[in-house]
Amino acid sequence: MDLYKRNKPEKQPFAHLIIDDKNIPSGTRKVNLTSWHHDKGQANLSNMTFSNGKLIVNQDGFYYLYANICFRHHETSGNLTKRGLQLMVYMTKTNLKIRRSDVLMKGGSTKYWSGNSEFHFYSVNVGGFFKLKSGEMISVQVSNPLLLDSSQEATYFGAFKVRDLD
Amino acid sequence: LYIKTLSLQITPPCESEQHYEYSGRCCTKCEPGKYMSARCTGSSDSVCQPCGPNEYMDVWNEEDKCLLHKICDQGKALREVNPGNSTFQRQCACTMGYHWNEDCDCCQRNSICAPGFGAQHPVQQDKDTMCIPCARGYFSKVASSTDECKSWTNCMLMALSFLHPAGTNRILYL
Repeated sequence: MDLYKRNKPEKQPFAHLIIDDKNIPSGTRKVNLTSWHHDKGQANLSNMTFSNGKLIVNQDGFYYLYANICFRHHETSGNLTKRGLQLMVYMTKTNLKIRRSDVLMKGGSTKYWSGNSEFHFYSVNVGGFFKLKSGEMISVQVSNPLLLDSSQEATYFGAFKVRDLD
Repeated sequence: LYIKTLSLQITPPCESEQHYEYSGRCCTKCEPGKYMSARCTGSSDSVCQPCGPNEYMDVWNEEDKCLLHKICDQGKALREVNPGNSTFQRQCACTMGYHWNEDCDCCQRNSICAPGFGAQHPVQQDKDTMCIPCARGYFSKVASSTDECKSWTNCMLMALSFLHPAGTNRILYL
């Protein structure tokens, strides 16, 4: 009983954020994705804070972090300015106290989206186990925001606490 | 055993399209367009709240959240056919010249009908072109995903329309 109370599995922090399709930055340069939904559709958040485009850790611990990012292009949107692409996602941890930003995870691929086909598609998935401290912030960057697939099952990221710090 | 069967017969069936059972009570589900913010209690029925903007719920439900409308993504050549509302899901279709393909989850180019074949009209929205061989008296010399078979030129009428100022229509009535 004591052990159960101390671990409080029902209070374990978690977050699953889905991309806000109305506020995707334009362009083809690497950007921070700051607009996510935390309570709509499949999105959920508990004991973590989403503010200013960043997911803030409120409770020290070991967390599993993940992200899935889909890129797409259809010929009706016109030709791609560059056919040789590098489609990337970066997940970053920022600690304002020590003014540090570290890339925790990186994924992606170079692509040559040319040829005669009407549709091109690619998705990146990254995931890992990290020690996070209260106040640290998680954010996501992508290489080609213009090519982002904005549906909730396509572009999302999240975190859930697995255990306390030792 | 006898009592047990009897009680089963007396208890009114609760679980249905509009009702659910919760802690021994039979309570009302939330109607389409609303979600359940609180289950029923000993003294009150369920509390239902309307779906927010860009959300819907199309059935009687016990959900704690409405569903999010899908996105008719222009970047996938999709456009809105019906915007939907709080009780009806938004509907998208591929733009002209494309049709939805479940396999690629994308808008695919419509098939092109070879010469000798024409596209069946009317062209169905979001459906691939149906190519039909040109019937006697009709022809197609182009590869197209939209053109029907054309009828042969009537040389007699054409000659007459040149000769007569009123044109073909007049001649047809003569």
